[in-house]
Amino acid sequence: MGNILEVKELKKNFKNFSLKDISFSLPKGYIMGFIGPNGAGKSTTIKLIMNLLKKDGGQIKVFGKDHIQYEREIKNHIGFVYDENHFYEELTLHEMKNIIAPFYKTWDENMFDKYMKFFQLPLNKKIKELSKGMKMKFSLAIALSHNAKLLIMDEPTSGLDPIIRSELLDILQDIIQDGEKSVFFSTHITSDLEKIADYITFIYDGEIILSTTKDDILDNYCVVKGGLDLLDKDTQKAFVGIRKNNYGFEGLVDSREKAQKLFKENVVIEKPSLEDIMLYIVRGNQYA
Amino acid sequence: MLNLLLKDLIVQKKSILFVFGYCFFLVFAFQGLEGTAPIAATTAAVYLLIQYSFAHEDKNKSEILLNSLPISRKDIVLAKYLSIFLYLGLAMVAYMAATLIVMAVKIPIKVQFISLQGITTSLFVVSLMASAYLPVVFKLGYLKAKMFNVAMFLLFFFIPMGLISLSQNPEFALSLNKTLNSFASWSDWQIALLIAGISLLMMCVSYCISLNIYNNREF
Repeated sequence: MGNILEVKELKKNFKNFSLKDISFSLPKGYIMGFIGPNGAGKSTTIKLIMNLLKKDGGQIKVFGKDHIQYEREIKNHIGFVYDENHFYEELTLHEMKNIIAPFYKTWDENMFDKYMKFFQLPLNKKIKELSKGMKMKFSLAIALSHNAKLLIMDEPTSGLDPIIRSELLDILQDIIQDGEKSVFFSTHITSDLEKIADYITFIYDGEIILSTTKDDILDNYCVVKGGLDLLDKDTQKAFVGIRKNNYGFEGLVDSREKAQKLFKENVVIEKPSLEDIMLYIVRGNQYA
Repeated sequence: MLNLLLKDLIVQKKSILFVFGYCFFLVFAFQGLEGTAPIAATTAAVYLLIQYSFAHEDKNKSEILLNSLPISRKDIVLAKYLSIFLYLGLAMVAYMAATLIVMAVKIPIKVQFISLQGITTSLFVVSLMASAYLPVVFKLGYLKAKMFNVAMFLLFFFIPMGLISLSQNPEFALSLNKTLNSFASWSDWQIALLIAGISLLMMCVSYCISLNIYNNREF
């Protein structure tokens, strides 16, 4: 199982923010969700992969090749969707497509027509006349119409209504079925990832907090609820993050086994959502 | 490369139509400029098209899109330089069309046609302008480069005025005459080729500077 995307000890320094030696990899045929709060480094990482920002250190390999040395070859097989659209607003969708299509060696006009119909996009409408959701759909139609092997998406579902969001998730799941393509997907909407992601990479303050399979995370992490009398200095150390109120506590533990051993039958142990995990890790003991 | 040039034409189709209309207006406005009307008109038209071209990229932050497509930064920069010649060609066609229309409908104004001297001078002025402006706009982007733009625009007015007043200085006039006399034996074509060569050289140097800047640019 080869990696379609490999990031090793990637570094980028800004005045007020640094990406600190981040590493993760995405195997061929899977969807990776890239989560983290605003300003954690998600867009910076994506921009570094796309060589829109220059890295200060580390290595990025796409399809096993250096992302700068083989930039054109690699980008020919990448479909991208960013949180903002950067199309020429004065042009119609048809004109914009005519500008972009010739740059891709593997552009598939039939596939483009299929997605335009599926998303109900009017070819003769100017881009500036489209809603945010429609612009995002057009961006997706472009990204999906040149047989890309890797889809890189920065918040693609923001601005989309739940029906289109759900359809997009179905499309993403559909395109990885042949085992040759992968999707790298940054989002705030973690419920989307619970539906489709195989891997989760969580970035916070420029550091990778965890990067593993979604099942691993959801099987191991657990939310523990119980009375305040169960908490002391030692038991509190077991929590990644904890929230207390007058009636009891609720906290995240990174190992179900550890929680069971520590609290036995005295607590309620629940499966967390990705959002729970993100919130508890980010907030830590701030709730306490 | 051709795709990038076509892209600039498609994005600027309205501006190009405007420039055609503008050239028509300039045939009237510049009729008093003895011998230099075609040069002033075509240079102004190219100046506008360069500005519009970068303004479109800036407005939509489209450089992020272009740099995410399988296009090298070298091609993006080169296309901008080649498009200058395309704009100059278009501006000349627009000016010639305007003069022909004025003549065909017999509007009673003094029309000046584009000569070989006009073409080479336009090429030189446009190359000088683009060679100075493009590295700055590639470095700073369209909005931040606006200040430079204003300064350059003023220089293009004041330098010729300064040269005119300088030519009234007898010593300068003498040395200028000497220099010009050394070209007296040259044919018009030879002088045109020399000016075209100098223009191309300026553009090449400017292109190398711009490429170096753009290769290190972050979006």
